[in-house]
Amino acid sequence: MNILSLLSTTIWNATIHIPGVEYADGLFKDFLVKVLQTGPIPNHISFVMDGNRTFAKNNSLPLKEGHRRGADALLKVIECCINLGINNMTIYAFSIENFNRSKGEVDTIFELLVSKLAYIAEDNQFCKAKKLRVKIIGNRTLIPPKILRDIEDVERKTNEFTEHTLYVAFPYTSRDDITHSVQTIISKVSKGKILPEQVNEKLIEDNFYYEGEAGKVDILVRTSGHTRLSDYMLWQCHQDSVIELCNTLWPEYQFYSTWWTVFKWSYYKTLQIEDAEVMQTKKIGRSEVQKRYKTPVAKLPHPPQVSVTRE
Amino acid sequence: MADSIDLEGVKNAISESNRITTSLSPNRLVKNQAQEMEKDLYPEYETNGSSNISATSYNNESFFTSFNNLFKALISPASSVATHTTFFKPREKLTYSRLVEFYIYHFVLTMIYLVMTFIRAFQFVSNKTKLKFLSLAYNPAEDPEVINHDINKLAKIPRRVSVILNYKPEQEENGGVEGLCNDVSKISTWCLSSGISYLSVYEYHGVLKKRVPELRRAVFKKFTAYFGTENVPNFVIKIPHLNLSYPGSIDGKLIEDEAYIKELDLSGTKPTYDIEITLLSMVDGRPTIVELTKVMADLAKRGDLKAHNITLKFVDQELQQLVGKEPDLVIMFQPFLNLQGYPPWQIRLSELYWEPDNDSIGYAVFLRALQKYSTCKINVGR
Repeated sequence: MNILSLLSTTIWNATIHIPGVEYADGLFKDFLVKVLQTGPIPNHISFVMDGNRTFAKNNSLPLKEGHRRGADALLKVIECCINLGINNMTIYAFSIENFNRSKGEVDTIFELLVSKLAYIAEDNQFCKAKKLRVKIIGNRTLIPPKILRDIEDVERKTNEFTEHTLYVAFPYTSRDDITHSVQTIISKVSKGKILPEQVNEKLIEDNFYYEGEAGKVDILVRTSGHTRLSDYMLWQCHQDSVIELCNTLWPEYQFYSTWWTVFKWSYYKTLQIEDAEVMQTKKIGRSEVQKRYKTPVAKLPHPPQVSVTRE
Repeated sequence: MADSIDLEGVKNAISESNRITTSLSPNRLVKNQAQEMEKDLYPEYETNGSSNISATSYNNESFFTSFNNLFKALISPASSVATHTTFFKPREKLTYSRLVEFYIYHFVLTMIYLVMTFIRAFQFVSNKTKLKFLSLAYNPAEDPEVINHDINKLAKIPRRVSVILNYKPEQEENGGVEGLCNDVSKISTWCLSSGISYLSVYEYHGVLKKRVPELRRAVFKKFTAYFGTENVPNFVIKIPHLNLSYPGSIDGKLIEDEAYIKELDLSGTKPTYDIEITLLSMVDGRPTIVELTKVMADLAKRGDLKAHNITLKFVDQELQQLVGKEPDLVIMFQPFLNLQGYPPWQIRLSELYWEPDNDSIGYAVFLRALQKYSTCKINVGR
C-alpha cells in the first residue's frame, strides 16, 4: 500500500511538471467546481485536520515539515470550498488537550498558524481576493498575549469581508465551548440582563464562541481514519449532520478529496429533496394553507344525498 | 516570530479553571423537575416508525427510487434543487446564455449522480454479502462460552458500551416494543459474556423508558436461556433522567414486586449487580443541558451560584449525574453514521462503530466493534 501510494505520488509529481498539464488540471478543476455548483451546496463545513505527523513519519520527513504540508493543504481546501460557494468553514487548528504535547511542537504549530494567517490576511492576498473573513473561536484566555495580538490583528484586517468566513478553532474543545456558553448565560442572569425562563437551546447556541453565527454544521470531515469526534463540535453535529470519516491523511486531503466529500453530500441531498417533493413533506406556510383551503369542508357544494336509511 | 509559549503556565491555568468551587448540586433539582413533569403528563411516544430526524442520511434507498429521483432532478432542477445552488451569484441578471450554461453543467452533474447510483448499488450488494458471510462466520450459538472465547483473543475491551437502537414499526420483522426489548436483552447477554458491565441503550423516542416491566422480563428470559436457570446474573435497569432504578433480578429471582423494591431501598442493602443497563433517549441530549442551565440560572438569580463557579469539571459532574459517564464505544446498528441527537457531552472521545448498509442487530457487528476498539490508540491530544 505504502509503495503504491509512493509510486502514484512520484508519477503525479513527474506529470505535473510537463508543460501544460498543470493548466489542464486547473481547467478540469474549474469545470468540476461549476458542475457541482449546479446542485445543492452545504452552508457550513468543518474539518479536523488529523494526520500531519503520520504523514511526516510515513514520508520520513521532519515533524515540522508535516505540519507545514498540512498548512499548505488547508489553503487548497479552503480555496476549493470558497469556489464551490460554501459560506462557512471551520477548522480544528488546536485543541486544549494539545497543550499536553511537547513544547517544541506546540511552538511550531503556533508559529505556523500565526504566520499562515498573517500571510493570507496581508494586503492583496488570499483573504482580499476571496472575500474571506477570519474569526477565532476558542478560549482566548489560554493564548499567550503576543500571539493573541497578532491573531486579533488578522481578525480586524479581514473584518470587512462578509461573504465567506473561516472559523479557526484555537484552542478549542467542545466541552469548553458548552461550559463557556453556560457561564456567559449565568453571568448575564446574575446581572439581570436575561431571565432564567428565557434559557433555551437557541440561547445556548448564541453564547457559543461562534456567537450564533454560521448555523449548524452540514458536513464534519475527519481525516486519517479515526472514528471519534475528539471533543470537537459535539453539540453542532450530533444531529442532522453528516460526519465523514476518511482514511486520507490531512496533507493529502486536497482539492479532489474535498470535491468528492461535497459531491457525496450533494448526491444524497438531491435524493432527499426530491423525496420530500414526492412525500409532500415540504412545509407550506400557514398563509399558504389559508389561501389554498379557503372554504371550510362543510360548506362545499355536493349533489343531493340519496340513501336507504331515513334520517 | 511567535514567542515561545509558557506551557506550564497554560497547563496551570487549565487545571485551575477545572476546579470545582461550589458544593451545590443543581442536578437534583433537574431530576425532581423531570419527575414532576412525568407525573403531570404521560406523553405518548410517537409510533411513526424509525423515521427519525431529517439528516442528510447516507441512506440506502432502493436503486429505482434513486433513479427516479435523479431523473426528476435533471428535468426540473429549478423547482427544488436549484433553490440550493450557488451557481448564480446573488443579484445576478439572468440571461439565456447563463441558463443554457446552467443546464449543461447540471446535465453533467446528473450524469455523475447516475454513475454514483450504480456505484452505490454495487456497494450495497457487496456490503450485504459481506454481512451475510460475517453473520455465518460469527455465531454466538446462545452460549456465553463461545462469546467469551471470541473476546479473550482481544487485547483490550471497553469498560462502558453504548448502543443506538431504532424503533421499528410493529408490522416489521422484529419490530415494535417487543422487538426492541429482544434486541436489548440480546446485546446485554453479549456484553455480560464478554465482561462488560455497563451498557447504555439510546433510542430516540424513549420507548423503552415507558416499558421497563416488559424489558425486565425479556432480559430475564434471555439470561435464563444463556446462563441457565440456576445461574441468572443480577441486573438493574436505570433511567438516570428520572433518577429511577429498577432492579431486574437479584439472586436469580425476577423482581417484579414493587413493594420488595421499596423494602430493599429502606433496608439500605445494596445488592451487587453484574450488569447495569441505562436507558437514554433524545431528552438526555440537548434538553438536559438546557434544563441544567435553567436551574443554574435560577440559582444564580437568587445569588446562590456565581458565574465563576461554573467550571468544566462542575458541568461535567452535574451531567454525569444526569445522564451518566461517557461510553468508550458507541455501536450503531444502522446502515450509516447518524448520532440521532445522542447526548453531546457524552460522546467526547467515544469510539464510533457501525457497519455500512447493516440494519440488523447481529453478534458479528458487536464483535467487530469490539475488535476495532481493541486496536484503537487513545491519546488525548498527544
